[in-house]
Amino acid sequence: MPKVHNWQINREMDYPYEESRPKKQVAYVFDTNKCIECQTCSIACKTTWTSGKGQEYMFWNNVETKPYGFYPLGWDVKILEKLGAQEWAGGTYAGKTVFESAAPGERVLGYQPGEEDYASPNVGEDDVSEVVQKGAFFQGIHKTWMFYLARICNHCTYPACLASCPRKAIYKREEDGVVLIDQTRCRGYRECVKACPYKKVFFNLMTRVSEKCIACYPLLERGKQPRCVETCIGRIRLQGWLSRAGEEKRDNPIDYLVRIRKVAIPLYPQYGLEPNVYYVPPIHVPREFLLQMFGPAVDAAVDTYRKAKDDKELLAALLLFGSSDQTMTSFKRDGDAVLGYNAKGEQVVRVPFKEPVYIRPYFDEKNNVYRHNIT
Amino acid sequence: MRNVTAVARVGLVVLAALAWSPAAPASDFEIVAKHIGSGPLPTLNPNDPKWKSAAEAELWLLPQNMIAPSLIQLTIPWLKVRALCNDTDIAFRLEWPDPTQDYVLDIGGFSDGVAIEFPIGPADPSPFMGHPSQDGQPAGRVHIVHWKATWQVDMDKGFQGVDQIYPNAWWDIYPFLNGAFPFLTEQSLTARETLNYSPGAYVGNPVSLTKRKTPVEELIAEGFGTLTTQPRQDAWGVGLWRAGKWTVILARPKVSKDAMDSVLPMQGESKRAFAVWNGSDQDRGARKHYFPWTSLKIGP
Repeated sequence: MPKVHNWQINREMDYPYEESRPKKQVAYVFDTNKCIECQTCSIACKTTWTSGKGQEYMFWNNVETKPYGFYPLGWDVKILEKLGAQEWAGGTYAGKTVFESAAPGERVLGYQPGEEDYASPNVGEDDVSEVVQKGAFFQGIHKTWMFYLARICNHCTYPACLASCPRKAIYKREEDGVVLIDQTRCRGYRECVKACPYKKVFFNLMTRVSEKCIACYPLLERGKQPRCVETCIGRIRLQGWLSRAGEEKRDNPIDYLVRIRKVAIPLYPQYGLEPNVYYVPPIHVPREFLLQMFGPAVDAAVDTYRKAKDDKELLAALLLFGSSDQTMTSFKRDGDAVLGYNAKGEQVVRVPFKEPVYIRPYFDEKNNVYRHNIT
Repeated sequence: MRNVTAVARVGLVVLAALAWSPAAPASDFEIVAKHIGSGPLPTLNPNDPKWKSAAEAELWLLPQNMIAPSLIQLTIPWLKVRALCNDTDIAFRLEWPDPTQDYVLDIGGFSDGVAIEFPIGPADPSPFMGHPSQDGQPAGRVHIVHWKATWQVDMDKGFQGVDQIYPNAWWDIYPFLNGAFPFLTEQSLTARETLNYSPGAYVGNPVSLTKRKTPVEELIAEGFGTLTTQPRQDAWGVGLWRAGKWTVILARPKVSKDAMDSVLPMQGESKRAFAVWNGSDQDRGARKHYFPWTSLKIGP
């Protein structure tokens, strides 16, 4: 089996195909600390792509409450258990990836979810880690915790879905790294459903072939950000292009957040897929849980994020989130504001660090009505 | 069918090795297609008495483990084959034990099925989808006739979609579908725009058709992963599950007008391979039971 380099686990690993990176890689940063689980992203995705008959249970985008929320049920804990101990030696993963753990006769370590696993898309919603003890609320900060984890296809550099497909019906686009299922070649074997450890490939009951997030590529091709990013009212998301290791550009917001400041880190890097959705980890969650979920890079990411309010360049990059529907390929801090530019070099936004406050009169004389909101 | 012992599996491997070796006699697994004159073949009735006049070959199946993904556990031990032909067509009656009738394609559901593979042209392709072998045998083309339980039930009872799998499910509205709940497939998926949310059907994937003329699909392959539906479909057949057994008839012209089809001699010797899938064991694609090339004598 060919050896490929995975920078997220800092080592060579087995993968069924040779290393072949796209000209540019679609990537996202999700700030978990800002997500309120309003599901606007889920609805935007669903109404755009998966409202048809046979797609009822498909959520290319979902938001689940950790630690007890899953879609499908137990998607991550099941594969974590199968994977066994996942040790890190410093910044290098010393355990096995899902490719290296594949049983004889399999291409990838995985499992086939049953229909009951998809029965409760919002199971565990708002559940906290443990019962809040009586009186704890009045005694200061209590120990219970939870956070919202927004999930889409990671458009991995080493996709398990692609590796598992015996028909090579799944491909990764050379021009932008988007991972797609060829709807003409797929025969619905669901090897990809079984293999994807993030369980982001779904089977269509009517067409009898599998489907997945397409990164809204018709928007990407027009220089626009995907629906889930554009509609996020919490402004937790930013989509852009991640450069190859060693080619990072400081003014590229994705490069800056992921590779230079390392405040956004991949989800379950130990699976070995080199996923391209990067998360700012939830800073209040116990470190043991975060280490399992994001690997050892989480310590530095949390420390950096905690200091963001005094770090104007980092703050500038973080304030680009949700500021435009266009993909911003570069940014620049201008005093206490950030300027975002599209691929043509045109300025798209100017976001002040502190929004000005306008107070309007309580009574609108022109329309003869009282205002509900005057700021 | 999980009762096949390890000892029996070892025996099967030995038997298959013999069957695949050019020096071994093929008679144990030889299939003789009996010629019944110019009259029609009983291609739609597995219980037609004409079938009893054909000799029965019993093929001991093997789990496909040449390539991943593979089948580890054998759940179907044997396949019984009879063959009849007339002046123009040939038909195979295939019978195997399977206690469950698997045709529901829900999220974790897979279909039972059976297929016959024929070599195309004078070359001698590998029985493994015509894949080039490690000893230098080049890729060759194979012609595959595949019956699927799901397609059979589609034919017998109507398309097995959301309505049938979850008859009590409620859904407020689907974009572009006509009518109201329960949005039955045949009545509501009439507008072209419904295909916007049905990408497999939109691009014309044969797997995604909601209306079928036959439960049989003709395909061509030239190595692992190349299986492709033929543009022209000449084969037909029928399947019947009763008392823990599938009986399927697969029929095709000996010679068709399709250049992608194999050509069978009017009389003489040819060969074919078989594959069987057990849906309840999550068999699909390469996860299958198989029997490699075996001799077929087309009788006078």
